[in-house]
Amino acid sequence: MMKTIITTIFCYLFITSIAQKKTIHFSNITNAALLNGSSQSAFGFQTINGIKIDKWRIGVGVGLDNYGIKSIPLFIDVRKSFGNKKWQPLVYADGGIDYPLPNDYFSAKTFNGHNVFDFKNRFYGEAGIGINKKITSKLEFNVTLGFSYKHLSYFEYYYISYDPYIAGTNYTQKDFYYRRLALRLGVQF
Amino acid sequence: MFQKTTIEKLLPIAIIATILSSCFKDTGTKTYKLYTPIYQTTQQVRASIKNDAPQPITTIGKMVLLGNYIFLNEPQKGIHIINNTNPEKPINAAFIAIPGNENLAIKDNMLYADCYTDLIAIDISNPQIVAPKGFVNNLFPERRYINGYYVDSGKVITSWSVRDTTVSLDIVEGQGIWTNGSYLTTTNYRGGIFFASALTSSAGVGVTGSTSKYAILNNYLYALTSFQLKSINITQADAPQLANSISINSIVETIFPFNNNLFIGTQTGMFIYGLSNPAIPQQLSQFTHARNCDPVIADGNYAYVTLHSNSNTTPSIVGCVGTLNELNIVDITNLSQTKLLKTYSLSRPYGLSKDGNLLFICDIKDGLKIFDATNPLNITTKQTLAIGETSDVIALNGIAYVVAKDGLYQYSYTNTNNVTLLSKIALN
Repeated sequence: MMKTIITTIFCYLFITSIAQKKTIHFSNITNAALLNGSSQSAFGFQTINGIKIDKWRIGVGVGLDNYGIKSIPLFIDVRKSFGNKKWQPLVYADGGIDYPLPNDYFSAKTFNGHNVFDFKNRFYGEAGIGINKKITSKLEFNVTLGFSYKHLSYFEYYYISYDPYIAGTNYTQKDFYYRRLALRLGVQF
Repeated sequence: MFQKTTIEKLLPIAIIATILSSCFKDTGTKTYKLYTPIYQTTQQVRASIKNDAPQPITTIGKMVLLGNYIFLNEPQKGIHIINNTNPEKPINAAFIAIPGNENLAIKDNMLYADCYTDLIAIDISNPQIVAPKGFVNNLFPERRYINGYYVDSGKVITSWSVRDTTVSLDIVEGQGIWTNGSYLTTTNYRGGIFFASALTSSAGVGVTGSTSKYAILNNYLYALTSFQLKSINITQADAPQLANSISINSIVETIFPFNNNLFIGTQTGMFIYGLSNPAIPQQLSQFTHARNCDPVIADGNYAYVTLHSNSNTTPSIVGCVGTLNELNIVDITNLSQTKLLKTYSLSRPYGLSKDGNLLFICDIKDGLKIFDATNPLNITTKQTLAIGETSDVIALNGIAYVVAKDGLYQYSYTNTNNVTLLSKIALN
């Protein structure tokens, strides 16, 4: 529900801005992140490409997220900065799909030849606040702090051979809900 | 100026980050099927062993051929009886429900099958009207432990209630979780199942195979447990009696009777036992190889040993260990001094069978391979039947009975240059 409300608000504000016929520019945001959660700390990376209209930016982002399993989040990013001072506060929200990256375990087989792991693509989201600061006329430095959510889900298969009526391939489904604090430093133009 | 201002601006964010990070918690859940055993007493189970209507075949375990019938073990459930009078049109004729059944052997009209810890002698003189006649209690005591349950004496698990269960999962090592891109612990890998194959048959004895755990020679049934060879006197067919138990210093897997000797495949080598005293087999020799799974058959002066690994798994998963995938030809002219003569590389061989000069090998990945073994030291490939994963073959009287992942195939090799499919019993 919260995801839907946030997305709706951002879409409404963004469409309202476009309706005012502002100039549209290409936008790129690239950042590196420290993802800090209760079970570990990990580094991440993102690049977001899209358009910039006045104080609004919307784009499609792709990144690398090494928290839990290494994965590639693919998401929509919407953000807005405020004011005209050197330091401009901003808010942002991301939503998309997280794709676990293939690794050695993807080829693991059970004794009867079934894949041990079957990874699923699940929700990825982040929302937070930050600040921009102009470095040059076109380039800006930014730092953000957000709540980052990543859902890892997979089926882990095994083989039972010796129990009546249950012989065969069986599985356990595991779901992990990673809630991290994402501190991101990057540049944008 | 810029640096100072930046640090001043960023400091609150760093402080907030440090404070908030301790508030965020990773959580996890594990969803699985929870199996709870449903028990019957041993008496109830034994009373229920009879011929039932034919059942759909969902998995094939061990296989025994006798006359015009194929006896197919459905692991843990019982035995399908296939009327194979016409190999081109086999008929699923009946089913004998035997909970916990994994192995079987047949002599004359008596079928010997395990029912968890016990051995049961079942009269099949009329396959349409079968009845248990005799029992050896607690012959396989290690099978009292099932899926984490200890089954009390006098009870048998006949089915399981199943319900989906979700529990929370702590994100700590040992739960089978991912962290920093690596998998920490696996908890659910279990051994798989493979099946049997056969070679020759004496009068009235069902043909078992290279991966069978039972063998019948004369008046004795020899049965393997994990570390033991048990000899059971079946002179009185309907009243089997345990004669002796011999410990073997390895995990035993298969038994193959040949020339009044027993060839036993273990995970560390081939053991040969003589039967000058059939009640107490005597070890004659041991051919040692690297730790692998290894069915064995023998013919003439040679033993044929296939070694297969579980090497397609990354990382290694419980089951067969080792990395060898090969056929070993062993000289058994002198049973007390066996000698490796030659090794052939294969993809992942398992069950094998030999009829005349033809050697059939289930090369699990590639299907069924047929070799000309006229000269065992120069075996040549004649044909490969790419029928998916195969695990067992019995070559007998011009028909190769092949257990594959998707069913039981019958091939005619009467014309060795043109092996043709006769029929297939598909799994449901």
